[in-house]
Amino acid sequence: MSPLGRLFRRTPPSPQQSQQDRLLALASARSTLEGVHRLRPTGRAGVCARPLSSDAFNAFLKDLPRLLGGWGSTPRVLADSYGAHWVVLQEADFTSLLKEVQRTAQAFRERGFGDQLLVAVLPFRTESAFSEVRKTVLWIYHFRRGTFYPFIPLPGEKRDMAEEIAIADKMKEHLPIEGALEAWYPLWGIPWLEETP
Amino acid sequence: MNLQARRIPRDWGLLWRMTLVMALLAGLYLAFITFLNAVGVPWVFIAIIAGLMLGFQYFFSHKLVLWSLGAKEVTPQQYPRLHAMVERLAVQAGMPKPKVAVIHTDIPNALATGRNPKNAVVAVTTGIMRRLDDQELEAVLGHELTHIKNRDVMVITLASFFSVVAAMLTNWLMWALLLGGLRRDERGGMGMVMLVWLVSWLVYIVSQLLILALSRYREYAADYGGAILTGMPSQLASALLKISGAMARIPTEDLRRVEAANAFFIVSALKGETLLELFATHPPVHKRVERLRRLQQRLEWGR
Repeated sequence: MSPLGRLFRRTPPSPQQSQQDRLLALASARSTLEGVHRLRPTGRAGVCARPLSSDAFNAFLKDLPRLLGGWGSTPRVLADSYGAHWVVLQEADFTSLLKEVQRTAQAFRERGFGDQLLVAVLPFRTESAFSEVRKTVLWIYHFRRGTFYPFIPLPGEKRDMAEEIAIADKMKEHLPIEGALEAWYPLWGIPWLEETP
Repeated sequence: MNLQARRIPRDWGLLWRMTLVMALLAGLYLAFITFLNAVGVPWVFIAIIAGLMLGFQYFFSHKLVLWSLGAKEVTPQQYPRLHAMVERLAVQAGMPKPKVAVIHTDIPNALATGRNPKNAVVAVTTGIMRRLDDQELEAVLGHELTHIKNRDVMVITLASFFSVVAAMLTNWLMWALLLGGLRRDERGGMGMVMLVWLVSWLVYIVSQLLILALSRYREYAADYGGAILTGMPSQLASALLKISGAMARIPTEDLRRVEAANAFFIVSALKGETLLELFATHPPVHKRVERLRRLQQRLEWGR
């Protein structure tokens, strides 16, 4: 490439790269969540992927714990009642946890399964002495849209929409919040959420 | 159950602002009367007519309002759950149970009217009953009962007394100027009439703004009182959001099911205003929800 060509070469930031930065926005938003809303990360995260009837994909999922293991705890791969796959990550340090989520997503993309990635789920809990007001707020990160939305499940496949809207409005300066309320899809019955670590 | 425990604590900031608005309104009206007196307008005569008008409104407006909305009073046999809710809330608030009316329309709304707790009516539309669950409906009824308890009809009627006088003067003098003004020879008299017209018009505009502010504060006060009464501010917040239509846009179908159904799920096909725009068009709901949320937090954490 000529020097002139190099000068005018445009290298747009790859969308994947900028979206990964958006995921990390949760690391800096965490202090607000903890300080203002008394929400603490649970030390776990899940990456949700759509099913694909392909031997290569299933072999990749089987291989994933080995691929991602090495540092931190070994991730687990689960299937849920919707047929979706979950990669469950555990890491006490929140920023490291988010980096693990990024690594997982990167592994999917490197093998050409990036399109199967749906969302990353990052659960937060209130640390309250009163068990009746203890609640779970799930921050859902949508990989393709690169945005977050809160999901507060209640018993009986219900959700606390008022609280979700309120907390999203509060966090919109700190996080890339999904603006279209129509895209705030719930995820009922996440298999790894209820088990105690 | 100890009913005293449910006594409504005061929201001092709101009370202070409400007092300020009422003081401004009183100051405005006093200046107006002084002005009318100074220029020789028989304001006592006008005040008597305005008083009669407002008196009529005060005693009969609730009937007019309900009649114009097509509200029908209902018996406990027709709407047992609604009646039971109103009764329970009235007992908790320590006030007589108001009459209950239903409006047959799908537009979600609720209102309370009546000059005092003894003559009060609380009305809800069939639309609001269809959309809200029991706890949310109870929160809305709590808000309406607080309006009755705070005697908001009386407060607003009193606050608009001289506003009505100003409006009447503006109206009459405009016609007088248009029809009879040309016959006048005296230049001074003509100028005076115009001055009175102008001042009345200004008083009317300013007082309307103040009354609007006052009724907004009464809304906040009713939100507050209603939330304390039911002990569930978040339910009222949820009801407000549902009525505003924001809730209807949040999907209930699972993401994984949606994604499975649409293999070519086109992201940009999703339309809709952003959260920011939503709140730009509905600032009052947003603000009310925020206040209720803070109150909820205080109730949860403050003990």
